[in-house]
Amino acid sequence: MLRILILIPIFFLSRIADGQTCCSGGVPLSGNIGFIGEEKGLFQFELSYDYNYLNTLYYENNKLNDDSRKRTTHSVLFKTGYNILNSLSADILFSYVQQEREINQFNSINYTRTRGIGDAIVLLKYRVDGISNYNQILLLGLGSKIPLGKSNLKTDQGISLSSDLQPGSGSYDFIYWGHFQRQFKSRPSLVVLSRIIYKQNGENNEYLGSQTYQFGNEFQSIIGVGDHFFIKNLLLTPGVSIRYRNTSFDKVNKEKLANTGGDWIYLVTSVGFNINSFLTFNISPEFPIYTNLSGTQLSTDFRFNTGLHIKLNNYKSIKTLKL
Amino acid sequence: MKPYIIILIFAFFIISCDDDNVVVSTTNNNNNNNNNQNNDTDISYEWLIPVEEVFDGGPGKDGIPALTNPMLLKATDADYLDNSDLILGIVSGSEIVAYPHKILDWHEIINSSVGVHHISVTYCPLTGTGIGWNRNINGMITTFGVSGLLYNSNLIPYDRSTDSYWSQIRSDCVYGELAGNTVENIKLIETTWETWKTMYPSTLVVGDNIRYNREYDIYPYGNYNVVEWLLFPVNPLDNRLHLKERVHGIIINNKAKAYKFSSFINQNVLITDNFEGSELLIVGNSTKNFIISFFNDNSLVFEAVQDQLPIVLSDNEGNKWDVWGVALEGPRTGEQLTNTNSFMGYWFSWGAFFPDLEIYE
Repeated sequence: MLRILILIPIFFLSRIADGQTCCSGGVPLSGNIGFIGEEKGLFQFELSYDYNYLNTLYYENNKLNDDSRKRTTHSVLFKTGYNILNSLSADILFSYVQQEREINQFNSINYTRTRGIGDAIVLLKYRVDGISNYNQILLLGLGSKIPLGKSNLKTDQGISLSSDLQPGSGSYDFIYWGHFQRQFKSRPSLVVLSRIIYKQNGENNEYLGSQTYQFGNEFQSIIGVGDHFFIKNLLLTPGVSIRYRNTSFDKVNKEKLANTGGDWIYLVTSVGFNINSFLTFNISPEFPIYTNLSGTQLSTDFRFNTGLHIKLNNYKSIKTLKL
Repeated sequence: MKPYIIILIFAFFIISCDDDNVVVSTTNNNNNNNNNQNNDTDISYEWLIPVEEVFDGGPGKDGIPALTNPMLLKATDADYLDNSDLILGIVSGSEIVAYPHKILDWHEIINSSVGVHHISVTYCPLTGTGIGWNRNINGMITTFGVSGLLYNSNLIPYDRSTDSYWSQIRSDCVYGELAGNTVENIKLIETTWETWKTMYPSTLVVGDNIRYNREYDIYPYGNYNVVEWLLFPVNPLDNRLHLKERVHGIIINNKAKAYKFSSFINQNVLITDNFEGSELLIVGNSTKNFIISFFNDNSLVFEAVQDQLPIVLSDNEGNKWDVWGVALEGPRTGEQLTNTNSFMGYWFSWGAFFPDLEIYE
């Protein structure tokens, strides 16, 4: 039971370590992968909704007096993870994405929306036993983004849309993932964690028919703390973390694309509601506290993630779920 | 139920949701007319250019905000400009106005009124083409905005009266109610701020105190204007010259001929040329950074004049002609040479719109 109580805040901390985007359009893939679990046979599922709202135009770290442009990304994410061994697990993430662009200028509103299946991610994780013990754990992962999503959507007239409005990126990417967490004897439910994610992006070789497009490589590091407590019979798991994100320039035909890339620091909060031993509901809003971009870009004002998580220990739990 | 069954069910769900679709709409706040330009049910017009070569540039319609009647400064107050900065200039009657690339790089279109002209100064940063358009379309004064679309990497403005889409370099309407119409070009001169204010010290210039407060000192496209690299595909791609070399192109009978600065080294140089059966006068100066051209339709014999800008030509009758082709001195004072349909632009844009065009050597 104690072990379960410890793992619960870890799960929610891992949620607030979610990356915001894997591309300028704001599809939150790379950071959304990475269940934490250490038991062979552990099955986990999560269905979540992610909302990313961009409305502030920046030049480097200065806000510009122009809020006429809005970009929003709605993502439905389904991920599942399975512990093949105590020290080896695999996660898969699928996405469905709706991109919106709205410009409210000169007494008219111009709106563009695309939707479709987004890209998927596969991640293999290994627990480093020499470092991991009852109080701490180190996981290392290696994964890939699979370009299931379309990256060549056109309007009904046949006009090709830009890369950041596409549900997919059109490229295979490598993901390097590391996670470290530690509990304390004085308060075992208190968890401190850090996570590092590096995504090395490949090229979409069919961009606009004949071009190559490569989203900038992305680095994220997160440090956070979480705990849990009861309110009456409801177990709550609050957490807070700071997330640093850096992306390098996007490239078109291998040349750097101006007004892409930058540095962000976010304050990420979360709270989880444990409905029962295997089902939890969570909410995680996120706010930028530092933004310094390359050139002039729209940047995130607010992000929100909510979802249901199911954790099943071996097949006995599935039978319980059926009941 | 086995766990993998759950995955298969979800995978089936995802596949069944594969209804990728795109919606593009414009809603006018004043009358709430909703114009779904790209819905299956409302495609009313045909594009007059290959639509598969039209691309969404990214910012979206009006995402790059065109300016209308921006504040003008005296030349002495335009501290944000450097002497080497390029401008597009116009003289109409007693009014003289300069439109800096520094502003146009960020806004692309400036709707303005200068003298008798209702003008849209259109500038495409990706093709380097600056062209003045008469905003009087079929008797109606309109303004132009930035559609966010590109054809051969070139700006597609839209007019706000009919929401029709126009090709900048072609100077014709390529989609919408006015498709097939052409727009009258108004001559602009592209040169440096230093050359312009030397010619016209009393000029006004668009100021940088604009509500959108962009960083006008920063060129927004990185090193795009100097590298052999394009952001969007063009067809055809002509690489006989450096893609971003600025050339002066003259269009006659839908054919074009390009003139390079290397033909106008260090001083005012006059080239007389014949193209499409017309006698042409092309005057340029690489140091002063301008190339202009006229038809020689009165059989005068011209020569270049040095160091008297805006006067650039004299003739065998003793007339002196300025950069607009107006005789300022001599027996023909007040007469004007016929302007060519011409403008400056990156080489690749001329090659894309006028395949296999001739290059003056």
